[in-house]
Amino acid sequence: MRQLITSLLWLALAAAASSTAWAQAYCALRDPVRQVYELYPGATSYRSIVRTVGAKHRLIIAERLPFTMHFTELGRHTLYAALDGNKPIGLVHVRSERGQWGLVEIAWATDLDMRIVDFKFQRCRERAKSLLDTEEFRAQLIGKGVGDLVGMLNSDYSGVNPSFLQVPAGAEKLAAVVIRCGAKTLAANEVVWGEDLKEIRHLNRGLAAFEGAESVQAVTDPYSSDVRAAVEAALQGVSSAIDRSDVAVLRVRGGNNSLLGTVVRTSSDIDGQRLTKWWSVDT
Amino acid sequence: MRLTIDLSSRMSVNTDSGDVSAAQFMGVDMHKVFSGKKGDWGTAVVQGYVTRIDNQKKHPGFFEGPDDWELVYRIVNFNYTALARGRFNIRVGHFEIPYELEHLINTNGTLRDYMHGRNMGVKGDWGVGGNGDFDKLEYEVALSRGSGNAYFSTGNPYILAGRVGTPRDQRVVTGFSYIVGDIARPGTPRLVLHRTRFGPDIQVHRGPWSVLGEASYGRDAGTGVFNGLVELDWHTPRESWLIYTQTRFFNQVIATRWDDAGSALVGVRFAPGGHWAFSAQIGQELTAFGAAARGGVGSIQIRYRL
Repeated sequence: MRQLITSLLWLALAAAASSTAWAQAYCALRDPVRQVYELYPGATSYRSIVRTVGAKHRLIIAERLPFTMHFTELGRHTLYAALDGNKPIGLVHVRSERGQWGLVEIAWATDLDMRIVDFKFQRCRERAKSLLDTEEFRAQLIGKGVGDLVGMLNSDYSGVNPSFLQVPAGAEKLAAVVIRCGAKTLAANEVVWGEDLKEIRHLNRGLAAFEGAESVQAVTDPYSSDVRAAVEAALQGVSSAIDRSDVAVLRVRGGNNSLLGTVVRTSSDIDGQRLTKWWSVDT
Repeated sequence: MRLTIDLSSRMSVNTDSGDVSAAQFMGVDMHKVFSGKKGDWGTAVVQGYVTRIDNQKKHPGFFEGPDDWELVYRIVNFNYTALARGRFNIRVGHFEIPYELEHLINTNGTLRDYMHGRNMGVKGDWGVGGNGDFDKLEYEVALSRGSGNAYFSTGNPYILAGRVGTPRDQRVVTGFSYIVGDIARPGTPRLVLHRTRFGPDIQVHRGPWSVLGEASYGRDAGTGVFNGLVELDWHTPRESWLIYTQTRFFNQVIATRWDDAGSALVGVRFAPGGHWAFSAQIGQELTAFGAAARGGVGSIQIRYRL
């Protein structure tokens, strides 16, 4: 009886708490090492960014997609930034999607603007896998964004739309699983890792702008009073059309912490289109 | 960092004697990746469990009796990963000995289990090793203390073990493992038992079905041993339900001739979400060595990770 009471006490304590968890012990976690280097052969290493995918993210994704994550998909997940030296060159995220015979795990490579670069089946028990593990199928997904992928699905999102995606006979169901998984990946990357992506994009742009660049530091207040005064004097009352709430200024440094230059990202709304430009200014 | 409190409660009944035993596990499961400007350079896993056993007549040697408390280190190690794009990493600490199916399918804290106990007598050990992934294969080799949960050098035990195999995420996975060592046996005249084992393992996954198998040939202090296991699994598409059966066979030279024993078990695990896992398993010895009585055990377990 004492054993039973002890057991129930422990479990009651556990049930009283609430957080995201991983049903499997963490010693079973393994990085998709092989997939990262296959997807980015030029990568010298990768950096893991672990974040919690919570219920609020699930709701935001539900607003962006016509389908969303299952509750069992919530928890701690990892986005891998593939690096060349210390420069981010792309992203890898592994997502599980329910297939006909079990969970289908796919390693997705995306660029920093959330377009598909490539994908690899990491774990898939479906017979149709070999029909989709082809250059022809891959080529249809490369370069696509969230909207493009959703457009490849049929009206109830359970199958593919043959007008926008060519799939070998017998692989339609698995193709829809792949497309839904890809769309969720792109949406989740942006929603869950949005702040990290901002940093990664800055690092990528900054290090690419100047030869010998080693570090990038964002200026926290790009519109200081001095800058504002200088801009007003230069423009003399003419509007620059630049959205000042969405400006990033990055100081790029080389060896011995020497300043190599500055990279500036500006955004403007022109004819209803958001136009983002990157400017590199040397010292 | 990932950090989880892991609680589980297990109750077992010996189907012959009617003896009831219990085990409670309360531990911390932590996983931390260390990163720098040039990427990840290491991963630490820490799993320490306060474990209480009650009326456990067959128990691991680090418990002092059938009713005892013990701090059990399941996995406590650091894997240094910054050397060669994942092809050669160095692991230091307490880790599972890389041998056959247990190396691929972690069963720490679950009713489902493989044959580490029968083949080596210890599941995890303190030591150092190398591991890595290539395009078509993965490997892990380790040299460890041979003392199991607690680190001690009495009798100078050691285990040298290794497994090389095809990537574990494929539909067909094969591997080959080898161990040699003097494994700690406190209280025995030699203080250690010299053991060797080698053999293949295989997994075949087709739809919701999986067939797993492993076989080991070797010697215990010069005496021939041949053990094996075949498992058949079925799971639901979301993999919340798993049903498995295992058939195990044991062959050993006893008094100059081979004798054999065997057992079978069936188990089920239901994990409805990220927190709970409910398991039940019943096993029966079909044949026993010599005139030993055949026994059976039924177990249930509730596990909660928060």
